[in-house]
Amino acid sequence: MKKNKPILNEKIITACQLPKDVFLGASLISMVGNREIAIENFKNLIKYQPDVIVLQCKYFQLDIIGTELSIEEYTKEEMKIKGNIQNIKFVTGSSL
Amino acid sequence: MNHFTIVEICIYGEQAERFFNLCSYHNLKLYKIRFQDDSYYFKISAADYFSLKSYARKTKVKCKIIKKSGIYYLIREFMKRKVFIFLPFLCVCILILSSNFLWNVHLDGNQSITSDMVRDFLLTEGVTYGMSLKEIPIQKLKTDFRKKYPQVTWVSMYLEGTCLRISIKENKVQNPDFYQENYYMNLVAPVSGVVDSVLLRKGTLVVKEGMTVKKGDALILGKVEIPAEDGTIKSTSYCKADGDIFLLYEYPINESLDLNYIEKEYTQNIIQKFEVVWKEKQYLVPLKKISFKTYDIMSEVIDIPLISVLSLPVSINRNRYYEYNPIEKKYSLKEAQLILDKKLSKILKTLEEKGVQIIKKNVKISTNSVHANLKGTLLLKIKCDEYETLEEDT
Repeated sequence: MKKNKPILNEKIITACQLPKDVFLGASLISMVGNREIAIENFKNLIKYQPDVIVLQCKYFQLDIIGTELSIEEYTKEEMKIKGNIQNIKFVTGSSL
Repeated sequence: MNHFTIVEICIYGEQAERFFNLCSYHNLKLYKIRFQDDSYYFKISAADYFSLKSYARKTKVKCKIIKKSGIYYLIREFMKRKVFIFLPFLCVCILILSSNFLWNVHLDGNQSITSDMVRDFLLTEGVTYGMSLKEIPIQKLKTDFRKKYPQVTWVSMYLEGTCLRISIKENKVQNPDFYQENYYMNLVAPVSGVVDSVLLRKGTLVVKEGMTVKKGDALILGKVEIPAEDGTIKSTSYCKADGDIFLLYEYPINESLDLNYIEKEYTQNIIQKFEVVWKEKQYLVPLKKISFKTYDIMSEVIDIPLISVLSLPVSINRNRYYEYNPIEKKYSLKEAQLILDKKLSKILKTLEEKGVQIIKKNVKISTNSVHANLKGTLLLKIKCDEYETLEEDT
């Protein structure tokens, strides 16, 4: 019953046409080409190396793989990453 | 980013990511985080730096300031050199001071009046570059300008910043009353020649076919004398002379071409120099002379916004000097003939465009070892359409 709660919530929020990022805490990811990525609604930074940045979001773990990666801005709300982005991986609870 | 005080910090330790998370959790903004040589570098405002220390202690990372930047640190650095503090004030003072003087004149709407004529007019009125804006008698300038140039129907002069803007409107017809019907005029010969054909519509004809006339001679008079029965003049009436009179005249052609000429063989050597132009005088930057013996200059004016906005009489040119080797060459007879033929056809074309009829061509090309000459005459037929005003007898 507990497992079904997020799905039920999502259905209600979709039916009510409410923003999912506010009510579900879903992450907002926007990219500019393959050189820049901005992530909102994330929990914390797990790992930072020039070739990989790992972020913990509410429902998944986000792996950004590339070269010469640097964090342009890191605030509580948003993280902006610049560099040569090659791969973005979403690691959910089952695959962790 | 707060640009007033920025510090660049280097941290190293095992729990760097945890340190970053702690900072963001406590609303500290981190910028430009990068990883280099097992250390993390980032920028933060100086006010936030002091709260970093507790998080560093907690996560067992060591941090140190690498670089201080921002306006606050810049000013503090400048405080050591007191001259630097005064320089901005000095610049502002010079700017304010120079904005009280005239540095540019902009002319607009002119057709027959050239900018040189306006410059000469302003010089005679005592208006020069660098004079105080308050001393410019704009109202007097306007009236004097209208007096000097009667073809100007409207003139506006006003100061915009340090620029004197002059807008004028000229009358397209030189003298509006000149061609009016009630003016009395004689038809005169525009060139010296022989009268070819005559057709009188209005006025008194004074020439016949085959008569030789000089430039400016009257052909049809605007004065018409009405004779009485006894042969005396009963009355005199005046009109604008009207008729078609064609003149034949010889147009001399004398063109010469030097057979020896210099062809430029460009080497690939180019020097670029900047030139500061101040009050029509040019100063090269750097002052070193050009090492080329023979060169061509290509000059380009660089638009500097501050100079154009303030209308200062300073401009900066970018000059490119292209070196070339002069090679002496000689035109062959055929080449010279071709060039002169082109010149002749150009002359004929311009004459035809003016509405002149070419009756006979008598032009020859002669050459010697040094020159090729185009000599001869063209027999032209021209319609007379020049008038002179006629004063009425009192």
